[in-house]
Amino acid sequence: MSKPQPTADQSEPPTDATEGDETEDSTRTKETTGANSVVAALEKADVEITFGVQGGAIMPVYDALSKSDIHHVSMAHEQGASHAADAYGIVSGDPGVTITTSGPGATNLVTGIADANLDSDPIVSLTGQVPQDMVGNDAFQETNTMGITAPITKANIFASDSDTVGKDVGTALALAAEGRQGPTLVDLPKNVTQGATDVEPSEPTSPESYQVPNPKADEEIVDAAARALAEADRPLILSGGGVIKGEASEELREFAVEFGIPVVTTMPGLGSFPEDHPLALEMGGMHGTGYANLALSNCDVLLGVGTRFDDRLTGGIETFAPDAEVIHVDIDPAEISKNIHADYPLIGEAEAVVSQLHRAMPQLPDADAWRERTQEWKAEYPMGYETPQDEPVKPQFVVEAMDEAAADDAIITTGVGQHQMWAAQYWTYTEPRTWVSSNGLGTMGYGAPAAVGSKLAAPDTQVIAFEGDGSFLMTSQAIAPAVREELDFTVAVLNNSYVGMIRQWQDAFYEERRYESEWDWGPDIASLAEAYGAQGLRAMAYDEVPDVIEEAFNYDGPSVIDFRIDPVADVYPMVPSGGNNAEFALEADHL
Amino acid sequence: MTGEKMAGAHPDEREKPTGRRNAQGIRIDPDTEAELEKRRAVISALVDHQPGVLAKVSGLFARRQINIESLTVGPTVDESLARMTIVVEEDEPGIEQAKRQLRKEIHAWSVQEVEDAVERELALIKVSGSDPAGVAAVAETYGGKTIQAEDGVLTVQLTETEEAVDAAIEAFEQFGVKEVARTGTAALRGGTQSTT
Repeated sequence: MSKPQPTADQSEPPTDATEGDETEDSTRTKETTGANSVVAALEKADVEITFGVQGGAIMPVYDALSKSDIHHVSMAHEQGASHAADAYGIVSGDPGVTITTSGPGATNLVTGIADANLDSDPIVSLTGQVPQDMVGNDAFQETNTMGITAPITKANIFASDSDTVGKDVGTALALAAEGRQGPTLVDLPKNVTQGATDVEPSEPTSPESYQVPNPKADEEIVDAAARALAEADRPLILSGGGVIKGEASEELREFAVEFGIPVVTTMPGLGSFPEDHPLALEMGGMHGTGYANLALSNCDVLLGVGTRFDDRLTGGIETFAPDAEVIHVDIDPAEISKNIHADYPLIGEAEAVVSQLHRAMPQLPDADAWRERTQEWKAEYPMGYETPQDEPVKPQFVVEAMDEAAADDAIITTGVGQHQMWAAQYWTYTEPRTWVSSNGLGTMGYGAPAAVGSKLAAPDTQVIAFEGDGSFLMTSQAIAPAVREELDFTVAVLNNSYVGMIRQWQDAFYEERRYESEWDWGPDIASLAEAYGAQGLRAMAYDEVPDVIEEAFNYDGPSVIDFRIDPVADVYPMVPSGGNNAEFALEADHL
Repeated sequence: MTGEKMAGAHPDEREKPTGRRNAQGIRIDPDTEAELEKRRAVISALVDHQPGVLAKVSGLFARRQINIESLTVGPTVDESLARMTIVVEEDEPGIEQAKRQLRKEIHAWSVQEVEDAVERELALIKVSGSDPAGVAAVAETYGGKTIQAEDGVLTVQLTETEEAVDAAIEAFEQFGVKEVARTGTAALRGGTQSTT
């Protein structure tokens, strides 16, 4: 251990424990520091990119990082760092890593950690902390990071020793990635990272107490579930985010196609089943398609894979798939029967269990009439909008125009609000890991920093961020690091000069009192983008839309397009909160 | 699709199933639906014996709105582990959730509901000292004893089941109960069965 540091002041010079550090236990003989161990643990886990912001208590780690080949992306704000890491985790499947300091460096991460927790995204937060002898003394930039993050992490670890800090980081990396993925955190007191050690970090491993379920589910329940599905008149698959995280999309597609079972996806499940396939009923839930919600309501056997039956999907529990026997495949036993009772609980990995079900199916379900019915619903309840040329541009048109112009495998990130729903509804998702959004927490401002993380995870893939004007302003500073890192992506701001989803709810449920959702004036989005060093563009009318899209896609660097859309366009269909999925509204009068 | 108007039947005019689920997401016949009854469950968990674990466990119960009746924690035969005995009063799905959520805590090695339990809790009860013999007699009924008598205050120690401690305190009311400190229930499975 190095000697206690007098203060946690940011101006304090870094101590190099390998020389000139006069500690009583004679650390001169030790060859490295805790900080070097932290970086070595990252290298051992093949971490290539980290996101973060410098700060006093984390300086030893940054100093060690300067000697490493790991690429560090300095974000403008820690929240942006956590969203960038989160997106990196979604796109790559490997944990995204942030490095930030103590106090505000840690608290600014909290939104991003909570976001990752609700979406089961793998991220590892390495936070600086004041030296151990000052912990609890309300030192400068001290906060109880362990206490604050305990309820929103899969695991958090207080690193208490220079000899074990590398192992702690390895544990956090392993835990974030294994089983049901999620956020982990290691709190790094400055004396621990500065302290000398000669312990080399080992391979990242989860602690022995952590049990990952057996990949395969109980064979007897699999057989019973397969029989129920094969004998169903109205079978339906609900494909969730766990299908993507569990790399089960291909297995699930083969299963659905071979047995002719229609597929609804949850929002995090977008891309888990190709939406251009006839069996696809697309997204279900609050703003899902009418045909998806009618199928959910009328099915008699529902196979849910990797979904936690979130309230935005189920609507009111009492009317959710009320006639259906539920087969629930999940890697987390605590999700079984948490919200919706599972008649056939199948605990295991999505890919392995779907493959088990595939083998166990005794016959094809006799579901011709049901499939036909779902196709009729598609015709009866089409997703559509009109585009009168003398009115402002419809946001749905912008989404479809961009989809038309973009690469088939483009990655979409979003903020939160109406634009997110239009991006979910009107873009055709065909590949897993192309929908990068804040599904569970609903974090406005997720889109721009997520574009940074997505592009770094997939440098050769086109990345498009949909944002709203309200949402974009929350984290627009993430464009600055994008310019610095020379990242090529397009941000499409669907600008209606409202906090649009709130305005829509005020119109529907609060007698049109548009209090604090209407903005008389906002910054000029294109000029703001230019100020950050990006290309700023603007489209005011339909005929300008294709041109600005082309200009943005052709530009080598970040572009931000300000699409001035119909200010009062609403998102439909809509199931009111806690409502019956079958009673989705197609217009305000239906609510 | 552009140009195609969003259309379809009014919500009231659609085919809708008549089935229902209850608040636990279980399919039910609304006419015969009964309220789920709560029951007392004793959950034993072996956890890493280190700082912060108690806060995490109690925090996770609080977050899921699972009411803790009592929680005790102490060392076990294995120095690295502590045993937590948690008494909750919940309906069946609630108890199941409590166990599963607790099992997800990285520091929890095992979680088990203790059935056929041997249960005890320790209580210290301060009683007015006007009738030492009477107090001693009641204490003896519950296997307790007076361990301190000072300035007209008798301190009684007793180790019994939660119900018996409740009854004892009620019995002491006749002398005047001044203060009570109870540890909460510790429990193990009875006889040769082990609690892991």
